[in-house]
Amino acid sequence: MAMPGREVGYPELNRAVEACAAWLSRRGCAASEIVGITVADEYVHTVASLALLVLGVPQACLPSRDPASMRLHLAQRIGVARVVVTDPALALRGPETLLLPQDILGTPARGDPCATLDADPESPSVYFASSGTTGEAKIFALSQRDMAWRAERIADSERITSGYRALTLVSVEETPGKTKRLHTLYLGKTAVLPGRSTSRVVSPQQLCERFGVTCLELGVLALSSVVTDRSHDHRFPHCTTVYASGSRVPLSLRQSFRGRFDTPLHVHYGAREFGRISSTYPGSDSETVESVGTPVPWIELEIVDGAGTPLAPGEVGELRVRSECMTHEYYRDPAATARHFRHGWFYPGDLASLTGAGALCLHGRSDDMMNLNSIKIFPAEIERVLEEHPAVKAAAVFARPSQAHGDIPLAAVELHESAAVNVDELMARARERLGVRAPRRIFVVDALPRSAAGKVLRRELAGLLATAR
Amino acid sequence: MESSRIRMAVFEALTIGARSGFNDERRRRFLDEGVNLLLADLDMDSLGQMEFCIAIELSTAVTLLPAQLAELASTDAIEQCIREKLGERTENRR
Repeated sequence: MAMPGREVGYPELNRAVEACAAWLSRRGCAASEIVGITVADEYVHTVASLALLVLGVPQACLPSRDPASMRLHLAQRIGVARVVVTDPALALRGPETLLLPQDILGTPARGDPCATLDADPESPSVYFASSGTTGEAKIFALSQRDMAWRAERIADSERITSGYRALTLVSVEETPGKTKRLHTLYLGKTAVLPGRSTSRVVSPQQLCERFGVTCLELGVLALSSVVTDRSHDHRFPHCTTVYASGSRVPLSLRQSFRGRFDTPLHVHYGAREFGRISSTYPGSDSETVESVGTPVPWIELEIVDGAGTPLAPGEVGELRVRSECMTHEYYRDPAATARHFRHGWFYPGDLASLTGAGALCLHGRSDDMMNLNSIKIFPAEIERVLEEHPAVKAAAVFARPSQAHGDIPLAAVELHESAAVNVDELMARARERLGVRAPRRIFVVDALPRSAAGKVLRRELAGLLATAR
Repeated sequence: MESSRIRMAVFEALTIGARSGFNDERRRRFLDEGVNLLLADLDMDSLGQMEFCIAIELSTAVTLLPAQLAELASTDAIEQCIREKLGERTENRR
């Protein structure tokens, strides 16, 4: 693991993990109960997580940024019995607190040896929260086998070699950040930890240069910041490839990135519950279609209508996927399980179509699809058009319910810094491009409400603008 | 809602729903002279009627159905209908 001012090789990492595992074992952690981790420090968190994996003790992250009430609620939903913390102020009332002395990580394991690695690879080992842009996050568990299988498939498809050094700016306390670090370490490669806030802002380009990053994973917001930040002219090193993830990486943003940087950019799309679904590969990323690439070879993918009948290329329907190694349920949530896991398929809830060439195009969430007087409207289609305007940084479309007309599409736009837009002009542009599917109102907002993972919270946005005229 | 705001809402809705029929001359007379326009003269097709009703709903929160427009027939009648519906709501709240 590489972090500011320090590199930790596998021998040292193993010693730290063993020491931590021995400490946890002495405190009675066992496979029969779930242990929470509330540790913001990237390195300590990762070591504690690996130690629990070694012991075969199921774990769940209770993010330190969340208020205590939220962490407690999540702990109770999952059934967390103990919580590992390094800051006593983050202890919860209820589950037992395991205050991890950080110096333990630098000392060899002593006392009773910890349990040997006899964890059942098929049993739940890490409980994760789904991205959950609506309502309460859904919980799902992955076994060690699930995680290893995913890591190996990705390693094959990306041709990961010995010099692989991966950096994600997503915190280890977030599901994508944690899985990326665990995958990288499982593969025996280098996980770069960016470190917490430093005295001055360090750009992703500088981090890549400093740590020799070969794989930089960015969310859409971070990618957008990299493209629009003109305060410096930092370049990416030649070894870096940038991977943007998310269901919407606007074509204009990809083109802007390629216009500014001579660095390969690929787009991934996936679901936390399922893993990677599609990816743009070199040469496959069309400049005219905003696709999320072609389905990865280790999964089956179909676009189906409401009756589950596969649709022809070009037709928009619900996306469903399955693979040899996938989650089959949400934890203690039969209703959500019934909605998303049917007949051996996982339905991420996205509307999609396939191009004739087999590229996957997303059209928004199936529960976001609008019906205006029987006209189907996909928010993503409107957002793409609005985001083509040079002043618009991001757009989000939501519905205002109408008893007479169904869903009236409205939009909110967030502008680039110091940019201005004439709303009437934007409306006219949308009307010209989208006709009857154009938004009937466009609001300019300072910032779109987003989840911690950067996804726009449409329902919150609709609530904020519920009475705006 | 004041009558002038209701009239403005109708004006904006006509701008959206009756593009060709609501020409500059009719716009001027509607706003400046307060004339009552007959919908039959405004050349609104079914799509235009839908857009007109949506625009009214967004600006006044009053639901109008395209089918009601034929019955109402004129801008004055529409304004009166909106006033009545808003009045009913105010009464109900009391």
